Amino acid sequence: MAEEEEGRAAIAEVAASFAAVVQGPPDETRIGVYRSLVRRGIMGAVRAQMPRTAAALGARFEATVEAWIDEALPSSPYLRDASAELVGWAATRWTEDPLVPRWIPDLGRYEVARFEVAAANVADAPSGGPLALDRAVRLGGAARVARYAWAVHRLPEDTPGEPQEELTALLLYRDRAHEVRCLVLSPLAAAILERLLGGARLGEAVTTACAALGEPMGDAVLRGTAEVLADLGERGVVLGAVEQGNHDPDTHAAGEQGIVAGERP
Amino acid sequence: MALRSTIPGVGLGLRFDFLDDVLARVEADAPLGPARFFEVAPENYMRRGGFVPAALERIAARFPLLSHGLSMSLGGLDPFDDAYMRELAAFTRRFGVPFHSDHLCFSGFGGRMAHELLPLPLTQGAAAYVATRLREAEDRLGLPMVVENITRYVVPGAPEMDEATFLAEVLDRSGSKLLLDVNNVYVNAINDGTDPLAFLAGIPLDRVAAIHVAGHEKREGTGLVIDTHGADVLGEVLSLLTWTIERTGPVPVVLERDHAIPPLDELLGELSRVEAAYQAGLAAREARARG
Repeated sequence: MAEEEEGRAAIAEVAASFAAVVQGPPDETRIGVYRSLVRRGIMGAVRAQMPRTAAALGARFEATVEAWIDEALPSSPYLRDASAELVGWAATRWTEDPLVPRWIPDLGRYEVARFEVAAANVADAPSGGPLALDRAVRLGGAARVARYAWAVHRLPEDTPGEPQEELTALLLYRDRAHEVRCLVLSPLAAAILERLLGGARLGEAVTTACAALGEPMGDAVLRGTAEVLADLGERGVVLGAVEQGNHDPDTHAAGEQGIVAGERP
Repeated sequence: MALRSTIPGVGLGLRFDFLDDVLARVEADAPLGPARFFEVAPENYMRRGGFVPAALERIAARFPLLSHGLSMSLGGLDPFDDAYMRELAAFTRRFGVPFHSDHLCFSGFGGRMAHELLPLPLTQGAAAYVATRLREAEDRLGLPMVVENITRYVVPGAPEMDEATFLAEVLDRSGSKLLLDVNNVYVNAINDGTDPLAFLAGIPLDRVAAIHVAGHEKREGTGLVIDTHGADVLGEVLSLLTWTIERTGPVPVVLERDHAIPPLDELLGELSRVEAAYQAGLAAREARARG
């Protein structure tokens, strides 16, 4: 054990020297190669997941990643989580930086969300139960509601552009061919789906969503909700009702915990 | 922990860049050159759904897999990540791999990950510490651990021994086997101005469970050769492979390519060069056995 303790102490000393180099200023000595290797590896991973954010920010994107590495470094053993960690760290800083377009935080979050949905580790077995107001709804396709202040989903794939400032709610999900799809939601549909994703029973989700938005609860709302859920059923998002007696508010939250970002969609 | 049966011959490190091409050939039952297996980084498939793991399932139905990790940080001071170890154990069980390998290095500090292979101090204490971690990893995975020698651009701390001795010490103390990366041996020797064969002669070749080969590049400005996996395998590295196989006998040999990846057919052509060097090693071994 004493030998191992000596080993730990020696490794701690070496780790401190590498941390100083990796998170410090450029270093032209041989150990400085590690600064470049670490930064190149992380930069490549985050750029691959956030190409449009990187292109829109140009050199400022690299400066953000450099500043993040100076201060934090990733914490996940999965390199593919680095972009989500970066956005979590950078979003407020981007918002406060007058030189960064105001829509950049939304674009970063949107790109990360698409990767997370593409790679989410969720099982999509249909429940088989018919939908009912007194049951929760099992949702698949790694579905999530994402809200933005800018319509970043309308930005063209390959050409530069600026999004409209427009409150936007999207349903992001993965279809049966593993492609990520994006549906624009009405405020009411978004509110209902958020509640369903949180594990609420269908009737409760509709009622509380209407109350929250000041919408009268009536036949039109119920009919519209049924149409949306039927459409989502065809898309493989609505999988049926959660079995009676199995109302579990954590059902979908547990699925979300498995969500990860990925190097490829 | 004893190795279960393993896979002789040459294989390819599977990368996303050519995953679709490999999958298409697997689906069409089309040839994939001399590839007898694929080696995968489990971190790219673990805790993940969607296309990528689905593709791997289909490839694994035709080819055996080897598991070579990137993030265990065997020499790191942070405790192993429990969720990571659980996922890794599930992955290795799912695909029935004969062992799991990772690098003789540390990859992070203070709860943070550098995602790079950082060299350990060459001391008795560090060898003892890593050996304990290797045994812990084996226990947690329920699978033999194999450890890979890394490329390193500095020898950190105050070394008490040379690198070959350190490697042998870790293997002796842990009982683990070695994933011998002959390109790493070559790159370290070039950067240090030493003889790669002297290093190979100094390590226990009877402990080699698998071999890696790859290309490397000289980086302008540093004067160093960097292990980029971004170029064809040098003839000198293939000669080291032949020399090693002559002494180890048949073990799985993996071609790694991570950057400047050519089209799949070109890569399989490169794998044929590796296969030729491998066969030359086996032939030399046979000739030696005949006296």
